[in-house]
Amino acid sequence: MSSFSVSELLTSTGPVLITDQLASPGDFLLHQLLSEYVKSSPDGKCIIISTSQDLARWKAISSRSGFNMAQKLEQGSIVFVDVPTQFPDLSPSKETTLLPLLNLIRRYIGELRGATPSLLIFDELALFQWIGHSELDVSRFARALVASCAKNDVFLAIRYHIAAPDDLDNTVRILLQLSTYHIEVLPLSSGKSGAVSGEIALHPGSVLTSTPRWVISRSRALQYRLGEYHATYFERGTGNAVL
Amino acid sequence: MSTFKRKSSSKSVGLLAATRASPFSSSTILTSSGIASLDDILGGGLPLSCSLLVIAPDTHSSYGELVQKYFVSQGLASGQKVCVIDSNPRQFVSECMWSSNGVLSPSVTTEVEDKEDGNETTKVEIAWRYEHLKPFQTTVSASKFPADDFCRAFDLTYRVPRHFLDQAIQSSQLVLLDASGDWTRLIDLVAESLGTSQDAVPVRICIPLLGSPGWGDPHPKDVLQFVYSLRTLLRRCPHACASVGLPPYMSADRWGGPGWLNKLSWLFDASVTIAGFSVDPALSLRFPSYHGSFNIRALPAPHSLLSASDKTSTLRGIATVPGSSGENNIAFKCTRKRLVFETHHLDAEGGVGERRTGTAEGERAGSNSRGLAGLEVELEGERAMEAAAAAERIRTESLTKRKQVRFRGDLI
Repeated sequence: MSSFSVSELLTSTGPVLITDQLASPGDFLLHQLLSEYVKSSPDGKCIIISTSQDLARWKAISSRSGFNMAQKLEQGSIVFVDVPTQFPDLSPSKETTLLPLLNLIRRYIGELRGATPSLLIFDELALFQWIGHSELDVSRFARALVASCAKNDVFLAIRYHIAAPDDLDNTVRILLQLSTYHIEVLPLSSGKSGAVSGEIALHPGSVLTSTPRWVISRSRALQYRLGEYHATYFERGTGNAVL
Repeated sequence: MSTFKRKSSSKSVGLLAATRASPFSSSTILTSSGIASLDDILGGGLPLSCSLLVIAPDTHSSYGELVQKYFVSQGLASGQKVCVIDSNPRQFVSECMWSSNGVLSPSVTTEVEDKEDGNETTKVEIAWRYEHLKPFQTTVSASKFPADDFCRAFDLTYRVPRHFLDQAIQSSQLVLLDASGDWTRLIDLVAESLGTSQDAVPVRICIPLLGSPGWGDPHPKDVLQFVYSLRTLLRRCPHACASVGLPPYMSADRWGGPGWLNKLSWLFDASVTIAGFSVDPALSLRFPSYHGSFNIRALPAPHSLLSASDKTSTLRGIATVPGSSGENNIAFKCTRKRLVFETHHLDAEGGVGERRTGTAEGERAGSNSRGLAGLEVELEGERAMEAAAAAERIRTESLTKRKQVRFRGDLI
């Protein structure tokens, strides 16, 4: 396999969960998903909820991916929510919950009702726990988000950082139970390389009712190499450095 | 009248003081960390609107603080606005390095500084087939960059003049914020300071020791929340950048729980670890040329998926060899005058002593106190007699040491 399409994994029954680690960030999958979705559904709507990447980065990468994100924002085809700037007081110390953010997302989803298939990208969810929100609040937020998208036939993709691979928290366990597919972005055990940036494993989720499109086990993980604005995929041992 | 207009270079149009556009992405504006080799590792410098985390787990040294002092000195020397947040910011800033002659000049080549440090390299004769090869280099110097005020040359033996500090404080170029009080309001104070600064002047936010004892007893979640707020502030102020250091006791997962350093590094655009060898004396003996190792956790990529360092860094070595199997190990050493990051190579095969033969004790060339070469006179006959006696002594010793083998029947 020399290609990997994230948009083909989207279903309305549950989210696609993307987990990554510090040594192998999975943001390239989100950008690839957005690019594929925009090209395959020119009239589709997309909501991006970002807690990590700012709009400038999304624009810069999308401009090299073949579509004009600024134009899409003006047209209303893409809605971008920069959580840190729009919700600066979103921290438990200031006695605020995740409810305002959830209500905003529900409002945007409600506006998409009846429209063409829509996509919601949530980047990233683990941060809320790091800054002080309880696991219970974050897991409830995740459940509510998944339920809202499933109720309105909105495709959902969630990115979740794994800070301690050997000590998974309950939130990611709940997300694994709610997901249709789990894309695991893994670093190389031998460290960084100029030829290989990391590996991807694909696991079917608990919610998936149909036969999975494909499965990539960790032992046969698909390797990728990051470029400036896209990633190149190849099987193990078939990279340019080897061939 | 002609409508021809000369296309101006990207360096001169719209760039802030002491900054340059990234050769990798024109929309990324870089500013120097104060250390040319660290700039190379970061991809040319620290991008504006980005933040750098320096993790220093060595409890017996303060290399992490040294990097922060370079960051502050570079900002002051370049005329940028500097905001220092510390439990004793005035003392920290007063210990920052400065140039040797007080005149702030662009960085000079390392060959001059190496000679001053006593590491003078002598010209050796090499085989003709190797003459066209470049000398083996383990670091980069600022001389590869245009001669501008991007990266200044600082001398660790000099301190920033007091009158310069007073003037900088008076003119609001240098803002000192005390973290010993209610540090949760520090972000608001920094935001106020950024709000009053002109957009044409880059702003450097330096936190030498985040969460140090002077800050009180912060909980890990409080620290993460503070860093999250800092990153939010940088997103709103694209002409600012930040460099944050961690105390040694916080530079380990045991302080903040599983994944503590990863969580913190996720909230920064760049994250590096400077680990001194003093923690393990065996490392100091094994690598006597270096003072510690340098590890990269994350690198800034504000406008692309790939960090500019992967394409442009000479020290990391990924860009120089396309499709290479790995990147170079990097270490650092702190000489009398500067801190430098270098590629970490093993010594000659077998270690330091195998290929190098030291001179005999009696024949060591030395100089007396007047700087004149010493001279020893020996008679040839005496040396010959001594050599013959030594040879005879060795021969007799070898004869006496021969193992005598006898059968049991001979002993009866």
